[in-house]
This record gives sequence, C-alpha cells and structure tokens, in this order.
Amino acid sequence: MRILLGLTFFSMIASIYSVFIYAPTEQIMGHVQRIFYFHMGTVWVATIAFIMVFISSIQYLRKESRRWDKLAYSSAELGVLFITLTIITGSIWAKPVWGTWWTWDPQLTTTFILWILYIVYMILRSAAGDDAKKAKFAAVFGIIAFLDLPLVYISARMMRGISPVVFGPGGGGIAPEMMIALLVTLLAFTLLFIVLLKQRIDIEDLKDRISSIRLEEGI
Amino acid sequence: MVYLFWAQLIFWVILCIYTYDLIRKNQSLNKRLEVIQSSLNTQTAEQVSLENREAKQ
Repeated sequence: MRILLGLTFFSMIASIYSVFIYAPTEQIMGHVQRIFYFHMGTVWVATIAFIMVFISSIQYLRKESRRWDKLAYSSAELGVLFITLTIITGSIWAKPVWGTWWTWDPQLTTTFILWILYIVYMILRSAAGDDAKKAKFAAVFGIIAFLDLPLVYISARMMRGISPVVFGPGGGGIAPEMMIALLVTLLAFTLLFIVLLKQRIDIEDLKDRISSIRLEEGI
Repeated sequence: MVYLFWAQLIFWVILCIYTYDLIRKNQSLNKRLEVIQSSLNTQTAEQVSLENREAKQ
C-alpha cells in the first residue's frame, strides 16, 4: 500500500508538471485548454468506476457474494465523485470557450442523465443496508444505469453537437507533447482511483466486521 | 487564466474533502473495532478468572 501511495503521489506531481509546464499552450483557447487534462482524467476514472459497478453488479447477482456488492457500491461512489468533477471542470471550460456554463448538447445531456442515474443507484444502495433483496434490486439498477455510458460516447460522434471530438474517427487530435501530458494524467488518476477504492472498500470491510462481532456477541 | 484557477481550486478542494472524509471514517471505524475487541477481551479474562476462582473453591 505504501508503494502504491508513493507512486500515486509522484505521478500526481508529474501530472501537474506536465499539464502546467511541459504541455504547450493551445493557440486558440490559451491557458483555459489546460483544464482539458484534468477533465479527461476525471472522465477516464468515472468510466472505469462505472464499468466496475456494471461487472460487480452482475457478479453479485450471479454469486451473491458480499465482496462484489461492496466493490460495486464503492466504485459507484467514486464514479459519482469523478463524474461530478467532470461536469464542474467541463462547465468552467465551456464558459470562456462556448460563452455558456451549460448547454443541452447530446453529450452533456447524456452525461447529466448518467450522473442522475448513479446518484439514484447510491440512494437505493445506501437505503438497502444489509437487506440482500434490496441490494439485489440496487445491483439490477446498477446494470441498467450502465447502458447510458456508451450513449455518452456515441452521442458525441453520431449526433454532432457543440462538444468537441478529440480522439477517434473524425477527431481533431492533439500535439504529441499534449498527448504525453494527457497520458501521464490518466496514469496518475488511475492510481488515485485504486488508492481511493482500496480505502472505500476497507470502510465497508470494517463495518461488516463490527456488525458481525455485535451479532455474534449480542452487543 | 481565471477559469483555469477556479477549475483547479474546485477540483482539489472537492478531492481533498472526499479523501479526508474517507481517512476520518476509516480511523473512527478502526477505533470502534478496537474498543469492541478490547471490551470483549476484558469480559473473557474476567470470565476465566471467575471460573478459576470457582474451581479452586
């Protein structure tokens, strides 16, 4: 764990250096474009988190193991945190570039729906507590909510709105130095996600241990 | 530059609050577990000593 913490710390420092010093200033947008790196980092981590909710929910329904339930719940919380940061940083980026904080563009709309869906999942799951039936219902909701995730990516490409497409077919692409800064940021955010997820699962483990001792001893 | 500053500030503040909350919850649960375990150990030790005393008598 200490090695992982050290790696995360140094990769975050490397990310800050590459974003603010190494990466060149974009010619049209200027310094505001630097928001892009952290914005992409949060999108990346939220995507990993929601994929994990999807896989863990399926596994929980199949095996009924509390381990998968804990992984799904913890991942969802981190997913909500990072998608919230995505919306906030994206909005601050949009103001000087598009002249508005928010617009109901297809990609932004599907992202907003995704955010709401996982907040509902969190409410359902936290209300379920130790009730296995309700936890299973939350797992089913977690699987259905995931269906919106591909829509976020498809909507930017199929229904061209105001959101820029940077990567993939039809994307503008970025300069090699910018790409390096982005990759360093993605690595740093992935490590940060692993550290936070480990901490979050530890909390669920501790709660389980305390409640099992109380049950056994009748405290 | 102002927008970049605010984006960074909000990002780090939210991330720090969340991380601090995770660490605080983890520490408080660990403490609670220790308290429960130590109280159980005390109870067991008292029970054993009581049993020993009864056996001697």
